Amino acid sequence: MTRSFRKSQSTLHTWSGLLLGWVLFIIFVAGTAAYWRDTLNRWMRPETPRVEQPMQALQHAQHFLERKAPGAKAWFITMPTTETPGTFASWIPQPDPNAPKGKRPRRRRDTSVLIDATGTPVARDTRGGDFFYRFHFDLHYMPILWARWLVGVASMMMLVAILTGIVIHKKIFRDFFTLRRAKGQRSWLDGHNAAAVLGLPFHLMITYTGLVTLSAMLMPWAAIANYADRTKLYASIFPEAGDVIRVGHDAPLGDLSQFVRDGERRLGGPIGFIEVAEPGDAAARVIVTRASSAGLVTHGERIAYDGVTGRVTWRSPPPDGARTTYSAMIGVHAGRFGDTTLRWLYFLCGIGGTLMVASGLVLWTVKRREKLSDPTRPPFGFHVVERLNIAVIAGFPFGCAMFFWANRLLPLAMPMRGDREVAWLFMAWGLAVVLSLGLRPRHGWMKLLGGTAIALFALVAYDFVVMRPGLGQWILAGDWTLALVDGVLLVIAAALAWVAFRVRAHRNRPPRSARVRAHAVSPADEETVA
Amino acid sequence: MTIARNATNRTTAATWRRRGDATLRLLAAMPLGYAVASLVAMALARILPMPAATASMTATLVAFAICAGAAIWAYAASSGWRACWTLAAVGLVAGGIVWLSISAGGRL
Repeated sequence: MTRSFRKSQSTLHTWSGLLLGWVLFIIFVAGTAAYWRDTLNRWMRPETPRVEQPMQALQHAQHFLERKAPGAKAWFITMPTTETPGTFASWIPQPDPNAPKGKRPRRRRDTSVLIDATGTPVARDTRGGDFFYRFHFDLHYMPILWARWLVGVASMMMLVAILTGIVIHKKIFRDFFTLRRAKGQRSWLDGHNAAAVLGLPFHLMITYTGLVTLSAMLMPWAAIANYADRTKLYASIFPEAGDVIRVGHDAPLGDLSQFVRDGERRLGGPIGFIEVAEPGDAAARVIVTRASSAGLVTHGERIAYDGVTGRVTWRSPPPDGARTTYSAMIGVHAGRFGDTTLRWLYFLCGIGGTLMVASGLVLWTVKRREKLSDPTRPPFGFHVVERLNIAVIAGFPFGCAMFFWANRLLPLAMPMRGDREVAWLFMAWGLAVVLSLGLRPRHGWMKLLGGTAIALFALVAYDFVVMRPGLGQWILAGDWTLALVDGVLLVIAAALAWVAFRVRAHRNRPPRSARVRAHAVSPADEETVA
Repeated sequence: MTIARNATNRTTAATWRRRGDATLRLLAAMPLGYAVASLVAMALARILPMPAATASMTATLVAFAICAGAAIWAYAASSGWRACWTLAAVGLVAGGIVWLSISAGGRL
């Protein structure tokens, strides 16, 4: 590897990492939180009783749907587990032949519900952990298509940044064991390297497989090359059982838990999803889908049953090699197959990735500040990066903290409560952006990081002291999954407070230029920095 | 006076050359890199000895690596022009294969 090659890649690394680095940061934060999607779904509905018997919860859900949406066109039911707050269900009403053409379908909130373990709808309207999952690739307040392209382009730049990062990193192993503390740029570089190298296999895997999850949109060309009509390809990859024609005379639908038990036996693994077409009609059909928690490689294997007699009518064919690879890539990205230990590993790697992106963004300003000809008047671009760093790295976590607070404080009867919670996140984030523009950078960092830490400390205290059932009850009941959410928030709060104090202490040191001269970097080191 | 102006002109010329080079590399990395990756993926989907659905999916899975490789090459090449024409050449070859293959065999 020639020196010039490494130098050229250093330029590419810097700019591909910076340009959409802020988007990458929020993708990483949301994705990391989304590993606890089910857990957060429960934690954000604290009064919901725990699902002890999933099959029983499913039967309650079926009874609820039979009362609420009898004779619907279809029901969609997510199979409850002991880790979910209950049964998520939605339905499609029979199309109204008298309805004017082109009329928008009814709002989703009118046709979807979360049913708790006792069979009653959950009162607390919240997006819960699902918010982070969707935000991870759909963002918010923008058309989904734009958001996914933005996320896709950011991911591609991330992939380039990782590959070039490996190229410019000559002493990948020696540097990994080097952490020069309190030495300005060198410390930031060492921290960036440690976060990047420690999780390198994860970062590469998660970025590439992330691109694969969006591949049908980002890279449709290989499909277009072979198919004039791409629906044919998708029909061969994702085979469907076909449509159900309503016959018009009633017949009772079988017990859904029986279909689930049979499906689990035939497909080998838990069932994750149940689809009922024309419930209550003699032509009713039940399709059960294997859960993605069943294993690393799941293709959504499905079995269709006659909903009245229980006879098997269709089964999804086995996939080919490429489809298996694709499914494995999605599986390894989402980590749904993992047990609690693996989930923790995913979570820690996600935090590593978040720190890598954040430290890289900060490093850009740290490196340039030392070379500024007039430190009191930095160029415009420097200002933009410096302020955006504060607005996003310190501001977005503040928004998330306020999202959790909204979940605790907004009255349960409030209309559109779930949307209001999300609005709180963005209002708080907007406030953070204003603060990051208005305050001097050091104060911006300090106040936002410190404010987030205080908000999270207070939230844990609220969960323990005020909320019933709350943290104390979870610990007494041995519900460690929920108690650990507060535990993790406490650790995050402590970490943010520590950083805020470090920023505060920073002023009392001699000016940077003096220290840089004192610890002059050797030419060999300079080369890897570029 | 004249000397000074010449010097300024030379500096300006060098600045513009540098900016031009940077723009070409950016074009090579982003739109051209994606186009080349797409065309190579199309060519692979046509010529890989597998059933059509498998070949399309395999080509899609490797396309992102090609895209990243193209961006790396855009900055590794000795000049922006070189980055552009080499990538364009690869794209033309791949595009030619796709065109020949589709006119000969058609699509599903």
